[in-house]
Amino acid sequence: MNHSYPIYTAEAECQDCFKCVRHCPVKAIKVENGHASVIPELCIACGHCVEICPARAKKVRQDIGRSRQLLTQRKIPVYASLAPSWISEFKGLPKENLIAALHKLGFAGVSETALGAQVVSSQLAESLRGIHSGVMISSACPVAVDMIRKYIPEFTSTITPVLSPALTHARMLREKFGADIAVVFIGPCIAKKNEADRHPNLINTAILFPRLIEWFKEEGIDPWQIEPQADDKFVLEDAEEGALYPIEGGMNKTIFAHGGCEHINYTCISGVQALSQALNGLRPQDVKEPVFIETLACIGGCVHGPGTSHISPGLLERLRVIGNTTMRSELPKRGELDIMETYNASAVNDTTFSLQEMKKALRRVGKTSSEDELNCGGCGYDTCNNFARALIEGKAEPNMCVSYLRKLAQKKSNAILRCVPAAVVIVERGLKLIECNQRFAELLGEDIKMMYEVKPGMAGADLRRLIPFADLFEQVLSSGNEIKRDMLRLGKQLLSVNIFNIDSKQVVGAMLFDVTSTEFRREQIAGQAREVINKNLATVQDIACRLGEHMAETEILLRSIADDYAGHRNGGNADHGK
Amino acid sequence: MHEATIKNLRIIEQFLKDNHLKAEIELSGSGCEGRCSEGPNIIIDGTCYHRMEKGALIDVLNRKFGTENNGGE
Repeated sequence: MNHSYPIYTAEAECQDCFKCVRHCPVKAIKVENGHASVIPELCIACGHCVEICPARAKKVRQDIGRSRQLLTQRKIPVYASLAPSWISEFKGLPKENLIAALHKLGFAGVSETALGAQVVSSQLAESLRGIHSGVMISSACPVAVDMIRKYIPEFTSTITPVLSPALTHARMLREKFGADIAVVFIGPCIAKKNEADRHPNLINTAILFPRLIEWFKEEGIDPWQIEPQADDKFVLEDAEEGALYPIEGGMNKTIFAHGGCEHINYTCISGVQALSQALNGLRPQDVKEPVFIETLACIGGCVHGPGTSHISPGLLERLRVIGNTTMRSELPKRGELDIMETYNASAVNDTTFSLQEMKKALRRVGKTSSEDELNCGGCGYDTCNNFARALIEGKAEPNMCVSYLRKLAQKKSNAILRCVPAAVVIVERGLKLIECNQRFAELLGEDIKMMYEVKPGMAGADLRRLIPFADLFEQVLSSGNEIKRDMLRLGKQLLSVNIFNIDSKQVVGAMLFDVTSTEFRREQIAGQAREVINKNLATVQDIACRLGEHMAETEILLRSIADDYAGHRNGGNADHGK
Repeated sequence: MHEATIKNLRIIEQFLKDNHLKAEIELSGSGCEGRCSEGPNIIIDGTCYHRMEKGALIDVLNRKFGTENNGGE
């Protein structure tokens, strides 16, 4: 079963900022529903993403558990192959202290990877003596090797067919101490984990300096306080010129020092971009002169690798390495150790897609014409075409395109402003207009309407010169509390105004409804209602009055009738007539 | 079961599946062995392996069943 790929994303911590995609030199990071993840087949393990991730979400497989398991349970001697950049990482720490600390962890012996480098240099010097034309590229840096194998495959044949110094050193240790040992590489380089995974019979696992420092703490070991004993020395022997490898030009110097290959043009290229810039567009056969390229994926060399703490300035790191190196006067001829290695291209297929597919992909991010293709790099890809290709390959998502998001947001707000049945104005601190819709301009009369036609949205206009109640906006902006007014007078008009926060105390918006007409109608209705009431009152009073008179009159009549009727019955004095 | 052990169980199951070793293996959990500080522990054929995080477990399984990966490119 293979180990998981050395670089991975802790999804919970990934904040979807796509910075890793922007910094990945080979775009080996896929984004799926917002989360970034490394694609092992495309990755060259340079560690840029690990170093620049602001959320520390790009993690490195730490392999400490594996190393501890080797030391505690395997009952076989475990040797540490210590990368020469240790001198820069453990500033000023005597080597005996570091060796003693590693012995205390359980390592049977500590040896310098630089010994492997010396064997590589001596072998290369011998083969370079016979080379009089063509390019040869160092195989020392695993990131550069993977970069060429995958992205500049035509140069794979020029990679010098020898093991890297670390693998060479592991073979030296196994030659010396027998096959049944374990080797743990300790250094600044994540890609060494890939090397270990690919050559488990040589390097069992690789750990980074920071993890070693944590491991020391966990085990209560302090390399600075430890008392080294007599046997706390490097096994095999102390390295000499090989210790120059982790700085730019170091390898070249060690090969040159062997003599006999002065006719070679030695070049040092450090940085992944520099490597592709140097080789892209070139074919190996185009180079007639004999050229040896020392490749370092990390600018400044391994002393500045992703597994270092980058505390001191580059020059200091370099000087520490030089200070720690002694150049042997005469260098031994090549030994018999077989360090041959074949490197095969595994080209990343750069599929080209049909025009329709590309157009469709570009359409998904609102790019319909070449003017829309800003090639701004916000998504992490240099060109909109590369981004479209990544979209098709499922490596990217539309919301990575910053210009698209901005245009989409603008389109949404424009549509809403245009269609909402109210005057809308958006104002920032200082009462400067950010935007307003046409209804707002029309509300304010002819000349403002003209201004709007000249400059739709009237961005930058001063609200105080447009409306009398601008102070309300000021209040909302300073207090952050929203304000609603049902009837504000604006000339002959009556407005219902609702001022709300868009970005509290920074940007406010307002909806203004012209309620004069509705207001007028409301007054009319109110007036008519009063009229009806008055009329009713009048009629009621009129009726009451008539009723009263009527009652009075009828009362008089009835009373006279009643009296007459009563008189006739009382005394027969009917003198009123027969 | 402790979360790390569950993760280890998944790895073991995946390992068995990848290497078609389903038949010969009998998987069983065991009660507390009193060695939690060195955990997660796994016992294979009587040998107890301590502090089994993912990478260490894969090494143990690879060596136990001779399925060392041969260059994981």
